[in-house]
Amino acid sequence: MIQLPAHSPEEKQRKLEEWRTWLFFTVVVAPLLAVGIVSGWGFVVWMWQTFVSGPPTY
Amino acid sequence: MRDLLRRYWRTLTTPSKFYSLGFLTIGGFIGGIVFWGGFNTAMEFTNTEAFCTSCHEMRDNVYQEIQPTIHFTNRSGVRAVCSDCHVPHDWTYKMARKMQASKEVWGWIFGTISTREKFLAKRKELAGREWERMKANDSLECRNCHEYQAMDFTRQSKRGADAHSTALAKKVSEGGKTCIDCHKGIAHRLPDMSAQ
Repeated sequence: MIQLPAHSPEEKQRKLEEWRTWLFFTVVVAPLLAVGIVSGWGFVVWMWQTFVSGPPTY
Repeated sequence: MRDLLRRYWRTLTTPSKFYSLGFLTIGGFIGGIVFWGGFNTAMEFTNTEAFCTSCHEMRDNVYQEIQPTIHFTNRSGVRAVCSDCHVPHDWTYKMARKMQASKEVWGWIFGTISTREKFLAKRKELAGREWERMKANDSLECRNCHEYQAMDFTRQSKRGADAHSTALAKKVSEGGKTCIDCHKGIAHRLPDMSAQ
């Protein structure tokens, strides 16, 4: 069973909030966080190359 | 407003009452797959020739110059597009390069090389950066396709074979050379090298 039915108005409100919270975090917060972390890492490496290490060597 | 935030914070940090663990994990997993796909699609799109040449700075200068060269059109139909040589393939360095491109957006907004004259005036600095980069990584972007071990010296001109068999046989640290030391200006025209 994926979801339980809500009966009272309080339960309906709580269920709605659970759904909204899940949707917001799955669709907005998590992707933004992932892009932010990757961009941040890229920026740090770029700055490191610019001021400390120079271009990457192999 | 504070109340609303507090309520949603509580919803976030307590176990779900109405949605099953299965739905939440699988749903989150599917969301992750969709995100990963979208992220890679965006990464690949920003690596395409069409994307690079969508700005006139690239389309009217360097893109025009590569077209008569062998890296653009040749008998076997393999093309080296912008990102093959100018975006590192290693993931971390690739992300760093993508962030570095924010400076190119800056330049685009403020028209740093918005005319042919401005581009020509700045081109030595820009080319110099790429030469320095390729010198540091032992011309990695050349070697992604051209492999020293696979070169048939009998199919090269005498001048080429002489140079490749000696200069490339040693590491740069041992007095050898790397591709870009000799092959500058092969895909785009050289900057004006006279002014020092």
